[in-house]
Amino acid sequence: METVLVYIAIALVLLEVILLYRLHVNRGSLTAKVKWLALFAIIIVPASTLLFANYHVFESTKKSAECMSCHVMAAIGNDMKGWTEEEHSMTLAARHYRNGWLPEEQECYSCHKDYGFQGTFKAKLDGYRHLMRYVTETYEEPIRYRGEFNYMNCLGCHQNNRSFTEVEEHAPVVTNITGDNPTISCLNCHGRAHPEPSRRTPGHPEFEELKIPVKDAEALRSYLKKFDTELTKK
Amino acid sequence: MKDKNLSDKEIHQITRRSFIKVAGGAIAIGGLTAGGWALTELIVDEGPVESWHKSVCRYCGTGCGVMLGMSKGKKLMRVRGDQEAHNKGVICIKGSTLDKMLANEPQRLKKPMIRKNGTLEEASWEEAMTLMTEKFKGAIAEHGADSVAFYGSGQLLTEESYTANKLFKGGFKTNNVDGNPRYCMASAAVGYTQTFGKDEPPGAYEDIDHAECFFLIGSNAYECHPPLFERMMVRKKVNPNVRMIVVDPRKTKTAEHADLHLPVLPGTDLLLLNAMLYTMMKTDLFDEEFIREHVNFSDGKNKVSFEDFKKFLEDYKPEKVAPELGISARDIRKAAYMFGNAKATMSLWTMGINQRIQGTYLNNTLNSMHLVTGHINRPGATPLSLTGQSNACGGVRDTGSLSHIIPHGRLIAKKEHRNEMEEIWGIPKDSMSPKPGYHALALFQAMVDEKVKCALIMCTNPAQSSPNVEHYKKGMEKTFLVVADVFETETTKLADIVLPAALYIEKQGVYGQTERRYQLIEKLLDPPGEAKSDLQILVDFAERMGYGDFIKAKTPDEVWEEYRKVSSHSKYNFEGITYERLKKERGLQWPCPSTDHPGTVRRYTKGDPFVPEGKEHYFYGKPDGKAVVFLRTYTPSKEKVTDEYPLYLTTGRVISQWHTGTMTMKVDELMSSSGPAQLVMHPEDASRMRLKEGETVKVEARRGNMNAVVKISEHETPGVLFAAFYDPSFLINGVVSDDHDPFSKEPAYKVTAVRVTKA
Repeated sequence: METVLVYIAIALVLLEVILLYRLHVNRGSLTAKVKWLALFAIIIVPASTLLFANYHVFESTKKSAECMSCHVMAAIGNDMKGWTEEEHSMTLAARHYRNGWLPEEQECYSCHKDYGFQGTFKAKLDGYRHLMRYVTETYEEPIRYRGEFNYMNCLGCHQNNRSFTEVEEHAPVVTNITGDNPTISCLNCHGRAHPEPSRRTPGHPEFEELKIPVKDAEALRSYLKKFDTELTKK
Repeated sequence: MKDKNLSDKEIHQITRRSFIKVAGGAIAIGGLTAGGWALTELIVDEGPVESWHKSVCRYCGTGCGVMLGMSKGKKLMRVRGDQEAHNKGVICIKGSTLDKMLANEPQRLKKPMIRKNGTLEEASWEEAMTLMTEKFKGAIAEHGADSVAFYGSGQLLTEESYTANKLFKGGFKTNNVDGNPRYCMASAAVGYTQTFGKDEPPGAYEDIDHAECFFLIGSNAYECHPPLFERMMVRKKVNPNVRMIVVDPRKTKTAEHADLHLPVLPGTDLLLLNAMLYTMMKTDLFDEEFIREHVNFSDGKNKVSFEDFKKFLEDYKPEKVAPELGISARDIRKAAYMFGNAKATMSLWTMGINQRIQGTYLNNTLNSMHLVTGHINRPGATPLSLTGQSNACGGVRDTGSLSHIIPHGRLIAKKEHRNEMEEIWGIPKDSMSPKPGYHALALFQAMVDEKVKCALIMCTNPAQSSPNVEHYKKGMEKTFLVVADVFETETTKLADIVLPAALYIEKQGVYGQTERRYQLIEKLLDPPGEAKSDLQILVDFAERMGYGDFIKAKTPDEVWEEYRKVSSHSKYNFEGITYERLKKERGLQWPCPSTDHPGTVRRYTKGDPFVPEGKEHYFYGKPDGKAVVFLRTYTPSKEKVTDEYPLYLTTGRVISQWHTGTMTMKVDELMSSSGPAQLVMHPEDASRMRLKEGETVKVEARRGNMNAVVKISEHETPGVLFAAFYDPSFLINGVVSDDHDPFSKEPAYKVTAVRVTKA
């Protein structure tokens, strides 16, 4: 899908260049043909390019790779993908990832877009906020989740799932979240979603390790090997 | 078209008009970007929490770190697990609803009450405290100091238990100080002390992350310590070689997750432990080098040899004991092999072992299994007794607030120990009473016998939690009882004075949990009405009784400063655990002798400040640094099933209720889950007795009887009934036997023979 979008975008840009050139050549005579040309060159093609570009950004920013392109997210992503020294990280994100419970390439997005119709919009607006914070460097490490993580995001997958419905100990949770004043989070009993803030704080012994981006399996293997040799040395 | 009259410079000059256009465009784009950003900042739903504060859960002995989210109006809005604490953010459903429990302000006790003409009437603090002082002074003057008593709780703050203990033992000179930890932890405490010379476990929760075999016995951790169970399951999921053995007569949720479940008959498991030892001995799983270097053997009176121990085990051949245990010899051998052969084995146990006639023996033997196999003092290898209450370890065991001990492992009966405390407390030498006071059951019996005239009960509910409770309630009625609590309980109903106490974050102090970790609870709320902290009550009482100068420390800070320094005279040394550090750090594990010491994860081994340089292991609680393996003979329980009483009754807890339910039963979520307590039985028993779910039956035991509603569940074992004790309208403790362990004096709640008939 994404490749198609890229080709369409390139085609649109090429088309626009040709149209603008034609318009420039014919700028002296305002015939009907030129008027049509102007309509396409100035309105229709730019508008559709904008639309496609936006759609493209919407789609590509769903990818975990995009989230991890900001270095503050690297620790969280590396932990989830098992690219850190803690090979078997037991954070919720890592366990979901290892077990293949998350849609490929959209791991972050799948839990962080709010459930429901306006979920995507909210996620995008928040993503924009993150981007602005990042480029203007108006953030502090460790970064923290602002507000409350919506438990509905968990229920999106789990509400009709045996792991939720067949555990009778979930009864009080259901009473709570379906009541007037829901206060319980799934994370209360199921633990950390990501490495805890202290490990994501510059200066912590594990900080750099969590941040090392190991991009592929080959690199991961050599990285772990290096770690093994260091261990043997110790 | 280019104007020929203009120079190049003029051509490239931006006109005023175009500058305004470009600037306008830039401002518009910038404005949109910034405006859009501002908008996204504004629409983030911040939730109702204004500030987060680290604290410790109010309920069980796991001692989970929690984050408390307070609103602007100083109301507790959210409870979350503390990701930075030992529990890594995991808490349970009870902790998750602490906010709902605290919100029950209308039901809180807010004014002191005095019993007048048989009914409790509101009174002023002055009136209540004056009357209390008068009664205590009168009893001491007329009947001696041993006619008064303090009955405390593993839920009081450490500062409070320490102050009460000091006031009664050092001030009034009576050792009648005991508390509810006698009902849950005494066997573990005595067990550790006998084996290692010091109470409190050698290992820590961190060992769960390294163990290869979990040996759970008498513990339903799934329901009673859920965050620890979660941690064990995580360990199992990460490493498929990790095995879990669960020994429990019931097929609990914990047992359901086991690799090997051994449903032994109630009261027989000392046979199992000895048979496992026998098997490990025969299969060369003993660590003879460790035994040679670090272990002594004893028959309880005299030192014996390793050979004697081997001879003793010959009596416990699996084939011989299997019929009495009700399991197969093959399973015993399998368990022994799994235990002995794993790289690191961790035992975890709680009330199923402690609340037993042979509770101390069972604790000794569990410790012994680790000593003889060398499964100790290594990551993942340790015997860890889980605690039931939030501050039974730190508050009661460590402060010595039981009738036979004084702070930091000292014994009342030992003159040199008393003399040490007398010196530390600055009281005349040999002034303390040399006679251990009444342990819990003896105390309530002394009330029945009218030997104890006046008692102060704080933060606990013995009129529901005591075994054979109807008998002891008569004693509580006879005695002049002062009860400090937060809600009305079965015990406040029997009180002559009720004092309203502060709850949880309405006061400040230290909680110490299972793994020797001390954590601070900071004050975040004011108590409702006229309620006061138990420390304020004790300090006021001390002053009125004329001990204002003795109880010099009057605020939590002052008491902690005193107590922390007292510890420096012992091997518990936690002088380095200051309030200042506790406010920043997620609890610290003692020994921690200085403020730059990181605390001690594993005791008796490298890293413990008391292990001499160069030694790998050193059990410094014993004079020669060697731990003791006891030869503990199994004796069948008196509560054996007979034709007259053909079923076993065992009592315990359920996941969504805690202790006598005074707090958790006020939370709708928890009540909707647990419902009222019922008598739970296996379908096989139900069909034999022609009983249907919901029917009312009469439960009769040697001590008492009650009516109960039947619930049928395959989680039970045929022949074994289960009842939880949280519900005051279902007083199962009226049926439970008050036989107790002769060493720890802990009652044997877990094994009662009963008969059930249609009501």
